[in-house]
Amino acid sequence: MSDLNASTKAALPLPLHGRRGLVFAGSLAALIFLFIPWFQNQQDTPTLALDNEREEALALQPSSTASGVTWQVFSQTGQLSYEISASKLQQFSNEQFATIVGPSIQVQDKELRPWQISAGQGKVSQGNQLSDQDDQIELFERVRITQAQSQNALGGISIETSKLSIYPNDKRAYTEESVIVKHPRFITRSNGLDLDLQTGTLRFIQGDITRVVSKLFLHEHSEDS
Amino acid sequence: MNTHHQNHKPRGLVLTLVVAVALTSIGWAELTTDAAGELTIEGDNAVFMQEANRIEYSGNVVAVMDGMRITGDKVAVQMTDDRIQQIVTTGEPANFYQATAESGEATTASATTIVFLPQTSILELTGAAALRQAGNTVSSAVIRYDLALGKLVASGGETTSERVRMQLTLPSQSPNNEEAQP
Repeated sequence: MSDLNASTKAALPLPLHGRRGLVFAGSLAALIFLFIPWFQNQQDTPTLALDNEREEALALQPSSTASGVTWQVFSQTGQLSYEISASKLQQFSNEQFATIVGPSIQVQDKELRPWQISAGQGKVSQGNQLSDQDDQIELFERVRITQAQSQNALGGISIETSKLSIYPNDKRAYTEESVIVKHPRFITRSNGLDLDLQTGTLRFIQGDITRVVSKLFLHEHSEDS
Repeated sequence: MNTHHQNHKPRGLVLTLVVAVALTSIGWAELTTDAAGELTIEGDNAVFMQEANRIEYSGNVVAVMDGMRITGDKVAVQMTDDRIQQIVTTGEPANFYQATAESGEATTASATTIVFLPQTSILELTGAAALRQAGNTVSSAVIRYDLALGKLVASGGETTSERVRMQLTLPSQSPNNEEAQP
């Protein structure tokens, strides 16, 4: 009897509260279908974030490290463009750069006289030949550029600053930091400098407030005095 | 009350003047504390051309040494391997000032070009050159002034017909003949 009742109930039109339940169930199913992609995205996002973090973490890890390294870079014509020595090097292949500790760089001018550039730390970024982008060497901490004069001439030139960008293939060095230039005949202080490593022409950049100040030695002068 | 208030004004004025004088002397002291044989040059921009052994300053350039001051639009310092050969100041006009220790009077000059030869302490002024010393003025195409001796030689320019012109201030003979002065 109870089974009959049950089958009869199923065959009979649904009472009012039963129809409401069906509408509710239908609406719920529709909502679930609508929100499935959203739920999927919600599940995907944490995974993607983890992947990105993993990639970033891997990118921060050097792909190779070396100590006491020296390497030379040659131009397309086969001439030595520049030479870098460093006590420590960390290469980050994915990011196309290398960090260097205690860098010492040698760049030759057009008369093949070397500029010696040293610093506490540096970063070497590889340029892109297709887009004509030059290599860039950024130097930090106690940056010093020196060039000895020819044998007959007196002394040479030295430049001190805290930060310097070198474009070795363009033979150019640039900074916006304060600089001191020492020459046997003068000492100059300025904010900002643009040095042509090919010709030795040195432009002191005009600052908003600061001016270029030089002390000229009309007679013999030693740096110790 | 009014008197008290009035007393403040001169005090304020004196204080302002003292501060102004102090500030001026600080600025001047900074520019004049160079050791002998050191010339300080200041400008907005500068370029050192190593190949030419030359530095060029531009933009409100001021050169100072031993109570001497030269100002102009541009200053070019020409060097050789072992010395500074000449310092050329150009302007519209370039100006020269030198304090004279003995008399307390200043020597001033102006020209379109002022050349300072440090090895001989000679100043060459060319182009509408004028030099004023102890109330006297000399105008000429070219004036050569010896900084060490305080002597000058004025000459007409080789390419111009400009003649030497001197304006002298004669000392008065007695206190009553002030009207007789030129």
